[in-house]
Amino acid sequence: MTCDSLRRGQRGQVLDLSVTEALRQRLLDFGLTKGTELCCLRPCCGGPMLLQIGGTVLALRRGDCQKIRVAVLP
Amino acid sequence: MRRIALAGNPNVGKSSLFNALTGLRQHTGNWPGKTVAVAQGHYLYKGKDYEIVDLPGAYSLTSGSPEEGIAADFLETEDFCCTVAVCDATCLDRSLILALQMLERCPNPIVCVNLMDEARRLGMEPDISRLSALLGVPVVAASAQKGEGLTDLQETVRQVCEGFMPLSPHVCQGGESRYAEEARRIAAEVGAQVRRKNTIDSILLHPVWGHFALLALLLLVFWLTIEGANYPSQLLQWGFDRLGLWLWRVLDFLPITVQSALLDGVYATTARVISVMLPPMSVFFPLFTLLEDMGYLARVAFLLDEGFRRVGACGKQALTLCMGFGCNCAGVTGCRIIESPRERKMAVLTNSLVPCNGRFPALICLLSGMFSTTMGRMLGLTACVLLAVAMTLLSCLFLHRTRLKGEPSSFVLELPPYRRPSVGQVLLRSLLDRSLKILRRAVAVAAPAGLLLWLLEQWQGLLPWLAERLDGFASLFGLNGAVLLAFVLGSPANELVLPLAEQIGGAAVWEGTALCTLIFMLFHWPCTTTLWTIRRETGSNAMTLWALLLPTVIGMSLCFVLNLLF
Repeated sequence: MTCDSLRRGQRGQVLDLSVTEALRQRLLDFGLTKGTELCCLRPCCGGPMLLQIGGTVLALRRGDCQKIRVAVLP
Repeated sequence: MRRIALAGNPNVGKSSLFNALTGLRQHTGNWPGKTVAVAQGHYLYKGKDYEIVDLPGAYSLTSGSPEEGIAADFLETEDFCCTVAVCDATCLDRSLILALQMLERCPNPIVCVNLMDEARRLGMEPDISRLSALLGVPVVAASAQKGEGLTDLQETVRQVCEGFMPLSPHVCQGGESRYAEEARRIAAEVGAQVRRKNTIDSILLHPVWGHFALLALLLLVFWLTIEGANYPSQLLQWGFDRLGLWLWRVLDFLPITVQSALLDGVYATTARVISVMLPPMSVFFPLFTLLEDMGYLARVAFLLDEGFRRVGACGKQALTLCMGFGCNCAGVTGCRIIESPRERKMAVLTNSLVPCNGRFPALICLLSGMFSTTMGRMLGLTACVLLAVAMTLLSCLFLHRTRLKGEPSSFVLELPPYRRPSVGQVLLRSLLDRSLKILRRAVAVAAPAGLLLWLLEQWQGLLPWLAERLDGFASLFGLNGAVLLAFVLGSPANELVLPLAEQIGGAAVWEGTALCTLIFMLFHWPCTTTLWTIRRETGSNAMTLWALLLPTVIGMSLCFVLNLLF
């Protein structure tokens, strides 16, 4: 599934990122890469999604989240 | 002299560390990418002078916004005898990414793990000596706000500068994700894993309640500003009147022309500008800085992103918009935090649609003529700000459809944890840094303007004659000649518009023109300093012209319509 369909509190592991080169670089700077575990803090109802990666809370637009494939973790 | 550099992610307390080391007052903020210009300071340690450079917060040395480019350029081209990678103890897994990049590229790197007090509060204690062994460089633990670890850092820097400290910086092996992977591994190994819980964010970032909270906060800030500025403003006016009378007597020995030039011209204008400007700004800025230091402004950007996305702009524009409340020049320069050139131009062109500190007190002044209660004024002011934001969004949409076509780029924003602001420091800092700076600028423009105005007045009837010529044109927009002339003459600094208008047109100048003046005050050409900054930032005359015409056309059309309706 893609990252934007994560529900609140659900955790996922990134399988792959099919985003633009610039965004991939940027996400890498925050430690978001293939294999990273993330947690959805707020699903999008309109606004951007909130993702927790380690100690960092990131806001990402829904459109970008659609391009990140994740496997849901229990 | 020994030069050392401080670099690190935004919100790791880099600027607090800088302040604690140098004692030099410099504004520190809690939103990503705050230190736009590179700040420098000095400290003495064991008889040696150290020059310390505080680089803009960056997440990476290789990619990112123009602002981060400044940090990377500086580290590569300047000669430092020690570079300090500042990390966040509560978030080592991320802040080590930049530190690892710095270890490979920078001369004599050391690592400073800041915010140790916060980490301890969250129940974790990163193993500093283990970290040092893994990284191959000295690691210093610090809590800059409490002043812990500063001497340690200074001592380590000294030893590194004198070559006593053997350094074998860790080199990451692997593909392009090597820094991220290595950082995660090291953070796990030294025992720095944390999961933050932000319960308050579930309200403040809620799609519905979040916006209500934002509006409520805005109302509260404006209420406090208006209420808090009311009395000091009257007091200042009274004081200036007294001082003026006294000065007349003291300067009695001067020729009457010189006396009049100094007191009717320079003194009167300066006094009026100060008593209007200073009180609201010395309430508004500390409040604003408090919100900023608590980390709320990043939340504002988060909340407004949806709106900005729909008009093809970037959510970070909300941050530059907030800077614009302080000063449009700062807002325009601040647009460097936006990565995409197209969205950056959009933010630059629309920045002067928000009222800066030169226009803000003027708005309050005009509103107090229209409403007799604080409640009315507060609602009026909030309406003005909401209108300004709405116009910003509309202009972005317009630009998105015409001059700046293109796909909205991605938006990645870090939401820093809420931190308790150091209230005393905030008050002192905003008083010293912002209020005094603004006051100095106001005096610097008001004094010469007062003299010029006085000279023009000596030229019998020139200003009224000009105002009369403009009357016909101005009345199309619900203004009168005197007000329009004041706007033109006030171009170097918007602070001057109201005093000028009253000087040219007399006290009756606002009859029937207040509403349109209010709108025109919100939307007209940017002041000359802002225009010059826009020219510098965009490097294009056409863009500067757009920036000039956009707010002017908006203001004129709104006033034209209002004039037809009322």
